[in-house]
Amino acid sequence: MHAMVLHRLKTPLKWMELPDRAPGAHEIRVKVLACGVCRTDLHVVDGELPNPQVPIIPGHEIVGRIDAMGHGVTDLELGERVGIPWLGHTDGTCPYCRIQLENLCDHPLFTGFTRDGGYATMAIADARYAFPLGEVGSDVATAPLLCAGLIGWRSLVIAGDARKIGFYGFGAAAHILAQVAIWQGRSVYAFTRPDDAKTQDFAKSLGAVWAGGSDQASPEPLDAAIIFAPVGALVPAALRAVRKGGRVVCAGIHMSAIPSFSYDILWEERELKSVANLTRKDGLDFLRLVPEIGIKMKTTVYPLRDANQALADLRAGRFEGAAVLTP
Amino acid sequence: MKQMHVAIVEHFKKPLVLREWNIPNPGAGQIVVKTEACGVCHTDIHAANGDWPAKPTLPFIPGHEGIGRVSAVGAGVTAVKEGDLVGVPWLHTACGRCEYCLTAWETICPSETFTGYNTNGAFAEYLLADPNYVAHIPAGICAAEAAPIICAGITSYKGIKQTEAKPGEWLAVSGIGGLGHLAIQYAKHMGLKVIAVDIDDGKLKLAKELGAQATVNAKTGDPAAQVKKLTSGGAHGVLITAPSLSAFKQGVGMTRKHGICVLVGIPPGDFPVPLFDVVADCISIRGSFVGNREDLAEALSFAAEGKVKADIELQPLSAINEVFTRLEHGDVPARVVLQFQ
Repeated sequence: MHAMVLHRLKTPLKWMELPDRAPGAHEIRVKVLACGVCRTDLHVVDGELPNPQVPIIPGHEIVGRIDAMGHGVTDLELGERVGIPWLGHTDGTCPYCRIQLENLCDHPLFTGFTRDGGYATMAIADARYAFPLGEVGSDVATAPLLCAGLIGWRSLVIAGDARKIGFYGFGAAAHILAQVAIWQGRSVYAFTRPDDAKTQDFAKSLGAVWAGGSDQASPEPLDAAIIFAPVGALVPAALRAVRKGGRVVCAGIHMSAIPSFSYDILWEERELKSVANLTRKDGLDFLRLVPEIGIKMKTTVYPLRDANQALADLRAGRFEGAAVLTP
Repeated sequence: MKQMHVAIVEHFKKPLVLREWNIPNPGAGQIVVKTEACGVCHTDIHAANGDWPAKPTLPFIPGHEGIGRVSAVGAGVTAVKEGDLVGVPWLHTACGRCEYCLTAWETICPSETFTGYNTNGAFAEYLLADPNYVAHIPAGICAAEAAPIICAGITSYKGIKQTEAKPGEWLAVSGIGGLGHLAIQYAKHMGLKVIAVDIDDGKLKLAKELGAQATVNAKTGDPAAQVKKLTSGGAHGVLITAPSLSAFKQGVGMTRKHGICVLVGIPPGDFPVPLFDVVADCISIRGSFVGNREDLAEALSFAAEGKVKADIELQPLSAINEVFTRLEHGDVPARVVLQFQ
């Protein structure tokens, strides 16, 4: 197999030929069909997440076809198309796993971070954490659903019943979630980088009722806001945008320092909450709705070998929607 | 193959057979537990009689309140180690992936199996267990004390939680037997005010000793009216543990408006629901079945802190048939526990 491997933090990935591995008990091996590029991959490369592990193959939005199965795999079949998400394994018995919070498991493994991921021609995963995908939807359009879509979904659920919802940062996740939120009958307000007219037009084309820069005040008080961009300064901005009792959800895995802010923008029962990882229930709930929603995925496709270029373009905000690698 | 002593069901509705049986070996992902104590539950009698649909396959070993030490671990086991004191509860294993397992409702997983029913149980010196579903017995409680907690205890504790009664509110406990006497103790330590209902003055006296604020003898007068009077409008939560249909009907009647009546006993048959009262008073009637692994850990920690104690009588495995006979006649304390040497 071939893979783009991170050998040292903050260095470019290297194209390598690696021996094929056979799947162990409860594991599947897939031929990778597509793998999305997520901002979390940038945090992995930059060493911004706790306890980084190298060498590692990044990538946790994997669409693949099963070509080998280990002992004990019962719900999946050879040749089946599956999705392999960020949550790669949990212990299943810790206090968090026992109360429907396996996203907070004490002993987790994360795809493309603490176990090898999908910037590769082949990938091995724990079958119990893979999602059957069926054959509807192209591989490239499906890949970004597996993290941008899923974490976005969890954030939206945690944001509650907000009718007017703001998205700070309008990249891969927000462009999916905007469509989900509008399908649910909500009004979407898109906050982009200041003066990024192109992304604001993109947001409006997807149905946002308003789009502007994150330095602008919200045209009306919002019921909730989700911050997708890893920018701590957006927290006070979003708190100012939500109404009394409104909620601000931080969807990212990493964020720059949050500047201190006056208590009065939190007061009046505004809430601030983060989202970490995903549960398999999130995946089942979201993937079941995807065909009904009819999400139009905006993607930019890069060959696997150009993963460094895709990461650089993501960092610079040079494309709309999501980047996807194909082998 | 090494042998152990077991009490096994070879034919339904016949006495259990005391005999030798092969000690099991753990497969990958399994463990073997050396039994120290095992409670005897009414469910064991239903199993041995083949009373329920989906009968067990004969022969089988009952017992789902087994506590013991891990004596062998199969390949790949990390959740427990040899020597750990564990309990092997009714929920033997579940799939871990279905919509119920993924929302902490593994007790209703369609692929679950049950200890002492469709998997051999702890009326035996050794039994197999799934390390991901065993109870971890905390310090401060011995095997015989822990045994009733992993079935009767968790069932009553989870049932109370399902009533959604809050500290300071009233919980009516109907039936002060194996489950009910534990329910009173849990409820007391959860900040609830308990009103106990039974038809036996001796049991009601016990209920008072265990901390019930009020008692009602269901044989004298209308118990629902009495509970409503004593609680100024009905209990916020009602827990029906009595295996009697009239208790179910009365239980709905003693539920406060917008309250929740939780059923945990399973007497055979149906009971009529007074539709007008249930609808107009916004009453919920809810079934509750054992509890998940978190409930199990919580139920055990109450017991380990000395807040909840089962009333038990110890017997050897060889006495199992006499125990069954006495249990069928209601001639036992709250719980009989088989003790292994």
